[in-house]
Amino acid sequence: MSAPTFQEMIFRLKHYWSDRSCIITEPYDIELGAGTMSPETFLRVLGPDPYRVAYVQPSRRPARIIEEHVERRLRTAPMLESL
Amino acid sequence: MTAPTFQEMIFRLKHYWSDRGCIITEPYDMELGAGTMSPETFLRVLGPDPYRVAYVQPSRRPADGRYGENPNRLYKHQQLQVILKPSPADVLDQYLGSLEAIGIELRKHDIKFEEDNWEAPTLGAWGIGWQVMLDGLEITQFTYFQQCGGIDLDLVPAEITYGLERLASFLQNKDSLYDVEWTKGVLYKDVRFKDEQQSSVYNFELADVQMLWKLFDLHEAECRRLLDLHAKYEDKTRFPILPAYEQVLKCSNTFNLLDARGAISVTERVGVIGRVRKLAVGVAQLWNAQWESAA
Repeated sequence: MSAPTFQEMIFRLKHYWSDRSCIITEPYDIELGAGTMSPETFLRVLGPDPYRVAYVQPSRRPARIIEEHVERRLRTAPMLESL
Repeated sequence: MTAPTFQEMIFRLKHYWSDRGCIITEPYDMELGAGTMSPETFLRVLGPDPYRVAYVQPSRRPADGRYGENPNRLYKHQQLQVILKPSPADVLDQYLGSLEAIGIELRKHDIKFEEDNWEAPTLGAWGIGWQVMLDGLEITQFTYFQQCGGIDLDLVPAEITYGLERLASFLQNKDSLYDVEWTKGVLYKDVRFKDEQQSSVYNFELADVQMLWKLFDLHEAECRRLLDLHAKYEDKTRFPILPAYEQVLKCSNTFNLLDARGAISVTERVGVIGRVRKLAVGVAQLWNAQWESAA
């Protein structure tokens, strides 16, 4: 099997987590240093409501040589048994 | 066939355009008023290089907020933006094919193209275009881009902009977009209602007008400063044009917030739009100069 392209790999990961009941959202449209900082993680991990979401987050770290890389964030609450 | 969920519909559209040679990118991670403002459109339509890209862009329009109480209007809605540069001869068929790919049987519906030329004064951009009406509902803006940043475009791109919430409401036959199924068992309102409500409170009632004016001035000054540095900067191929453009985006969003707050009078309006436009035009000229010097 030939290796997936970058965008094909992202499709597959999103489909995979979508099939496992994750909400798939677009990235947060403000400059973040990491996926954790998105309200979809920072706010949603709080409180008693279960939540499952997966999103790509462009993560900006000006001090790094590679200024911008794409970080994939997965969040399931509560943690899956299998993990 | 059952209608796709919101996220399934987006998957299918991205796959469809990916299969037709488009790069698929994530949205730009800054507050934009429309997909056109992303550098993936604004800068890439300039210059002689062919380009094909498709991406979803959350589009923030503070004045359109309705506290989550209007079934058809959002502060932050999502657009799927497709740029085909140059426009292929069968672009219309490709577009109609994308509707079939998400389950719309064209012969069962009334599809009309209504003339609607498009203009973005803050970007110095305009095009000849149509809005696509599906059984009377506007679902897409279709434009042949003519000018961007005040520059005539050599390769006329086709810009296709889908309103994703409206399209999903149509497919799922919902009167309110908040009732659209995002994914199985999860509704749009479960994911986005609070955002809409709280953002409306901020944008209309609590945003600090003086601070916003200050931010506008600061972002404008930083962009200006960069544009002025260009003439003396030695290695032009690595000059930070994109960071300068990001300052334009900040200005534009701040302008939209001031507008929603009712802080811009009719007489001021033209002047402020002109200030943003001037920056956008400056950035576009540098971008063009950069590839010309590289060629």
